[in-house]
Amino acid sequence: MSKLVIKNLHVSVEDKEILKGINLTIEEGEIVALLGPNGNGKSTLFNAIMGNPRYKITEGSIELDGNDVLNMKVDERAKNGLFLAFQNPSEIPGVISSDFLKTALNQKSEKRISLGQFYKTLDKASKEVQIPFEMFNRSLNDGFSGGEKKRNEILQMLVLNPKIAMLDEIDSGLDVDAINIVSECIKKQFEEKHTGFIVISHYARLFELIKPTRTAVIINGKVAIEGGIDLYKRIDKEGYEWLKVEKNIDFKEDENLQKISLGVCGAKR
Amino acid sequence: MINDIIIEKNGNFLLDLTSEKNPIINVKKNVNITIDLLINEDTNLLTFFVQKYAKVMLRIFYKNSSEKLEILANLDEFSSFDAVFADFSRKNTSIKSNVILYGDGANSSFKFATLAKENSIKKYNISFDHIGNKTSSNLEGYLVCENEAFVSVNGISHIEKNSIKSKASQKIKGILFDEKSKATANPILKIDCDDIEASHACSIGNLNENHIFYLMSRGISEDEARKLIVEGYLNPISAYFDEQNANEISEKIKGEL
Repeated sequence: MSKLVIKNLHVSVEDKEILKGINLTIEEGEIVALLGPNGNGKSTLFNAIMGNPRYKITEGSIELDGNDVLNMKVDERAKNGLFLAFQNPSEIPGVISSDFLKTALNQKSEKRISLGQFYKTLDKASKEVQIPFEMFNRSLNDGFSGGEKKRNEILQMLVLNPKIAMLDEIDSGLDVDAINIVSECIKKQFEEKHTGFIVISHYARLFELIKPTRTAVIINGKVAIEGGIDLYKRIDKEGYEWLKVEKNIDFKEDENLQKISLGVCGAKR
Repeated sequence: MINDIIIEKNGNFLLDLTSEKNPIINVKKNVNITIDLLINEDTNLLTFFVQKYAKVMLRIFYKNSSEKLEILANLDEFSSFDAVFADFSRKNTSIKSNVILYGDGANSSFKFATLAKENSIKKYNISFDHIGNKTSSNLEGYLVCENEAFVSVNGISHIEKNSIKSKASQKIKGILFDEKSKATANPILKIDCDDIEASHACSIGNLNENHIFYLMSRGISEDEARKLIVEGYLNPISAYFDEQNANEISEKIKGEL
């Protein structure tokens, strides 16, 4: 059974320390709800685990099944079973979705996948996430709606079949029907493949559907509190303020919340 | 010696500049023609007169050429002149193109993709002159430079005084693979008329690190990720060519990366 163990992880971005000693363990066969106020390090944790070069590990360790993840390149981490569904998946003009997925599958296994087998796999996954098959002839995420991008992330997860999947606000931008579809896919992957999940969301609706096995809350760059499902339910109902009073945990929301672009230069597409 | 070529019928046409020196090509009214170009080692000058409602698609594929090519085109009412240029030669190349959109409703485009390597120098000077009303032009260029190569692109779209409701757009994108490669792009709009639409955009830089990270996070090696991105960047030009050349362009891109 796969296990991801994070010990005393310190991470900086542009010389600013974001994570200040994270300790967390995720195993196959469990779903961890990861919560925390904005700007306290949840997405930073995921990016650091996946190996985003912008995030510098200054101290601590990450191990997957006893292997040092920090010594692996990004693609090796993926090949060893880690998967990150991004909050804002990159749009990559010109890279055709089907070419990308075929390359990913071929690089993962020693034997090249046959074209027939590839399309069979893609067809099955596209039906599960209810993405039209024609979308695979389009550039990767280019011109996709927010919901389509998120469903495409889940499709990639189904195709790549990871040991541990990190889902970063997979429910943002999804309508009610799409949340149900995505939740079903997560549940199926969990039940049939026993993938371990760690899921960031600000809303209980997703958690009600996928039924986490436990909850962890990141505040000030540390796992401030862990608990069962009652913990996320209480946070959904009351917010985080009660932690200040009852647990003596002080915090403030990030003042530098992510800036939203209202438009882009035509040349950037 | 100047040769006149008159095209009166629709279809595909192979223009061999090794035998036709500096030809003047008259495309008759309503004719719809696709021209593939075979080039010689000299400076080549191609002059087009495109009559009313005629459509010309000019396709150029440089494999190992080292030429200077100059294109002049004069467009009558509601005619069109579209040029696509795939430049995967390792040698120096120089392209000049000037299209005069003389008749009302005329339109033109110039699309190119180039992979410049190993000290090669490639120069593009592409211009459109809008004279008629409701004319439109579009310049689109994709360039990749590596191993001390240099590419320069000058795009000029001039909408003259009475060319009302005309449209001009330019988009130039470039990727530099190493610090010694260089690319310059000047998408210039000269506008002498109020009632028009015009846009220009240019971006030249290194490969997007976020894109590389995204692809690698799916288990794709860094080298493969770079190849996928550059192929995706250059390969769309192949869609304009016939199957044989399209396959050759795709293979050329794969082989060069």
